[in-house]
Parts: sequence; C-alpha cells; structure tokens
Amino acid sequence: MSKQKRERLFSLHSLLGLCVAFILYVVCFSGTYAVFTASLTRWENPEISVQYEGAPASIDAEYEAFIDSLPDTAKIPMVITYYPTPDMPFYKVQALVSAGGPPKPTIAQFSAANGERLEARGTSLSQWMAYFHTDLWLPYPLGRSLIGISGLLLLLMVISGLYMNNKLVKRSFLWRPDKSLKLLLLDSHNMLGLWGFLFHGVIAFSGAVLGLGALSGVIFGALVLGPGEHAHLEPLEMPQLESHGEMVPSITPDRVLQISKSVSGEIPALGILVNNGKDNAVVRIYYEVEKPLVSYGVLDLNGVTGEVIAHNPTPQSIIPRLYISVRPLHTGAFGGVWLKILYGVLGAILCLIILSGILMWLERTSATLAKVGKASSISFMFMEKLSVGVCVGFPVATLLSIYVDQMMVVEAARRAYWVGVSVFTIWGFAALYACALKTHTSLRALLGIACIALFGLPILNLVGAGGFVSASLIPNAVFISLAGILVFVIRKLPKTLA
Amino acid sequence: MSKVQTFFSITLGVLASILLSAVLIFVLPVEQGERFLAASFVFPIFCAFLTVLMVRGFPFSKMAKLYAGLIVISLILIKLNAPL
Repeated sequence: MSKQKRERLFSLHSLLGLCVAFILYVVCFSGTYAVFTASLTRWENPEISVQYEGAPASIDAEYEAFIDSLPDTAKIPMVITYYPTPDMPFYKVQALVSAGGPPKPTIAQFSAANGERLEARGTSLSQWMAYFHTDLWLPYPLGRSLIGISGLLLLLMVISGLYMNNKLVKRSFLWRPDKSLKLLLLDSHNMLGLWGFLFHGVIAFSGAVLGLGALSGVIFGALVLGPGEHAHLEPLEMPQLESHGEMVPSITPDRVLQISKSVSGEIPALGILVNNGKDNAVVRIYYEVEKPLVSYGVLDLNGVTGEVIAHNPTPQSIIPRLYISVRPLHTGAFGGVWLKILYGVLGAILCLIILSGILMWLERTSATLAKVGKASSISFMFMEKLSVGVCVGFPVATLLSIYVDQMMVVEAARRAYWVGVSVFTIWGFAALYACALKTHTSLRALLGIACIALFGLPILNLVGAGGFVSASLIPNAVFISLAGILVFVIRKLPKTLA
Repeated sequence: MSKVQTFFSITLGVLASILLSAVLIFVLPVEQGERFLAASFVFPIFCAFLTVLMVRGFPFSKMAKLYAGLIVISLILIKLNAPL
C-alpha cells in the first residue's frame, strides 16, 4: 500500500478515535460489565437466589393479586412475563401501567420454587449498567440511537484499522516492550486489535444494527414510503385481533405456560400480553429453540381463549433469521457461561485498545510539542486530564458504587436513581480530582482506590451474601487477581513524569 | 487529508450508504417488511466498507465526485420508485 493511502486511512482512524474514544470507552466498559448482568443480579439481590429444579411453581394467585393492586387495571396496555431459568430462578412480571401519561413499568418477582412474591429491591447496579449500555439512561430512541451511532463509528474504526496494517501476520506477533513507550503502545494497540478484530467487528456491527433500529425505521420509512412514515423493523409482526370494546379477563401466566408446553414442548422464555383485559388481547410467547441463526421460536395466542393463532418455530426466510440472530450474537446469549467469560475478556481488551489509542495520541502530541520547544498546550492538558478522569474515573465509580448499592437502604422504586447518583457523583469527583492534581499523582491515587475496592469485594461478598460465599470462590479469585495486576501497574508507574 | 476533508468523507460515506441501502429496498425480490430489515442490516456494512475503501482508494477531490455521483444516482432511483 502506498504511503498516501496509509496516511489517508490513518487520518480517518485517528480523527474518529479522537472524537469518539471516550464515549466508546464508557459504552464498552459498561457493555463488558453488562455481559454478566444475570449472574451479578443474583449476587446483588440474595433474596432472589432461590433453588430451582426446572419445574416452575404456579403463580396465578400472586399474579392476580399483583395486577389487582395496580391503580387501574383497565389501563395496562402490556404485561411482560419472564419465566424462570437456571440463571434467573424467579418469574419477573413487568406491567406497563398508564395513568394519564406515558406507560411506566411496575415490576414484581415471584419465586420459581413456591410461587411466593419476592421482596423487590429495585434496579441494581448491574441492571443500571446494562440500561446505561443500551440507552445511556436517555429517553428511547435518543439514547439507543446514540449508542447505535457509536457502534457504527467503532465498526468504521475496526475496518480502517484493519486496512491500515499491511503486514497483518507480522504485526499480530510484533511486541517490543523494551524499545520505547511509543513502540510499546503501538505494538499493543496493533496486536490486541488484530487478534480480536473479528469479535470487535461483530460487536460493533451488531451494536450498530440493534442501536440504529428505530432511526433506520424513520429514515428508510421517509425515503421509501413517504414523508412522516415509519417502517416497522419487526422480523415477525404481532397479530391484530378485532375489538368489540368488551372487557374480559386475559389468560394467566400458568395457562400460558401450560399451552406453550403442550404446543412447543418448551417452557416459555417470556410471554408478552398486549391489550390486557380487553377482548382483543394477544399473547406472544418466545421459547428457546436450537436452530441455525435462531435461538427463539414464536407462538401467538388469543389472549382471552388461549387459542393458538400462529406458531413459527423458525422464520422461513433468511433475512428475519439473520436479524433475529443479531441480539444473541451481541450479548453472547447463544453459549454458556464460558462464552460469556470470553465476551467479557474480549470486551475488556476492546477497552484496552481504546485506552492505548488515547495514550498514543497523547504521546505523539507530547513529542510534537517537544519538537517546537513547548512543554504543553491547553488541548494536550485537557485530553490528558480527561483520559484519567474518564478511563480510570468511570471504572473507579463503578467499583465504589457496588459498595454504595449494597449498603444503601432506599425504597425499590428509587434504587436506580440513587445508583445513578452514586456513579455520576463519584465519577465527577474522580474527574475533578484528575483536573486538580498532576496527572501521575491523580492516576496513582485513583488506581490505588480501584485496587483497594477490588481487594474489599470478597469481604463485601462475605458480609452481604453469607451462604453464597462458597459459590463465589471464582469471582473472589478474579477480584483479587485484578487487584494484584493493578498493584503491579502502580508499582511500574513512574513517581514523576518526564 | 485534512481534518475537515476527513470529516466530510465520513459524512458523505454515511449519506451515500443510507441512500444505497434505501435503493436496496426496491431491488430485493422479497416482501416489503423483509426489505426494510435487510436495508437496516446492510447499512452499517455499506457505510464502513464504502467509507474506508473510498478514503483508501481516492484523493479527496475524486472521492467527493464519486460520492456526488453515487448520491445523485441513488436519489434518482428512489425518486423513480417512491414518493420522496
């Protein structure tokens, strides 16, 4: 490849990196954390860690009591029931309640072992992080679209980074840690990027497709169907039944479970009840299947009589099948726990690639400034402080918020709010601290806090979860190993910077 | 390539790939719902490869002309097929 072509690709790669590195870092870090949401939620809420043998108990009586307890049962446009799995040994019922304004979710959980209602503690940190990763806690579709755009830009960076390297095999193994900081960063960036490019490309692509779903529907709808029209990107349309305006009781989760088992032979993963309490109610059931590209079969029922309207174990056409496969591909939900761990490791590597890219920019700018006889510039200092504030501050805020989340006593509905306050407050303080002190001092201090927080997690585990300790030996070992790595990094960091 | 030119290359790449994906909606011999799914599926791929290959292959002036050509052709095709 000619030098000009490389330079053009380099300017594309570096400009994109400079513009979106910090938001991408935050999205990737929260995504890595969110990979383990199911396991972490059980750890954060010991009361939902019940024994489940694979035969879920009846919840009809408790379910009806929950629906009756809602302010106005006639205005519940949708009820989503998540059925128990070995990872999630409880029913989770999410009712969208509309009381004048936009519908708001009200959640109840029921034990899979005896059907009793479980004490709800609200949105935990891992669930908060998962929603932060998908929507940035912004209204839909604004947050989701921003995430989609960042996925698209990450894909651009992955592809441009791949095309920039002309000796792929050689660069995949080239690592010169003792030559200079510049070469260490460059080799680490190239090596990690090239080894993981397939995963990073897939994550970026699937993130872009999932995130840009709503925006694509608006843009393509306006271009193809006409101004103001929206295209609905649904692989399988929900059936519509005619309404006579009558109010009749909808079928219950137990009945849905019974029908799903008799028709598909499977326990549903989730059931979505639309038009609850009306004569045109419809229930859509998703149940697990193992078919190429598809992990869920679909069963549509009449929400009043339970009659089967449609049964699609797998869509016939390749396009909906491909579209359906995007989500499990992004979350790693198509494999077991080891695939999740692999996704977690590769996600952490993506964070390291972004971090090494930022450090390369800082190193290059520092060298350029030195050439013209300047020690520093405002943009350089801003980027340097921001790097510490974001790339170290956000993980520190997340780690400390684990403690806050476990120790605070608030009502369930306010838990998400206070978790958010905790994350942003600690992150803000970390960023201010990075701005106030010299970079190397604040970096060492923040890494030290992260290290102490990691060492303390096994203790928190012991105090908070009690009997769950024996099952947490592996996570405890991971926390201590990570803390050990941080101690090594802190010891290697120079006490003063040149 | 300057920062401004790079920024324009990315913007033109995104715009051209949106329009090319919209053209695909008319071309694909499947049901309309599936065409929209296909378009939203291929849009990120079009965008990434089109932008990178254009930047790699051509200097800015030639790239801008090529993008302009692609955008105009796509718009004409959409105009002929849909109420824009």
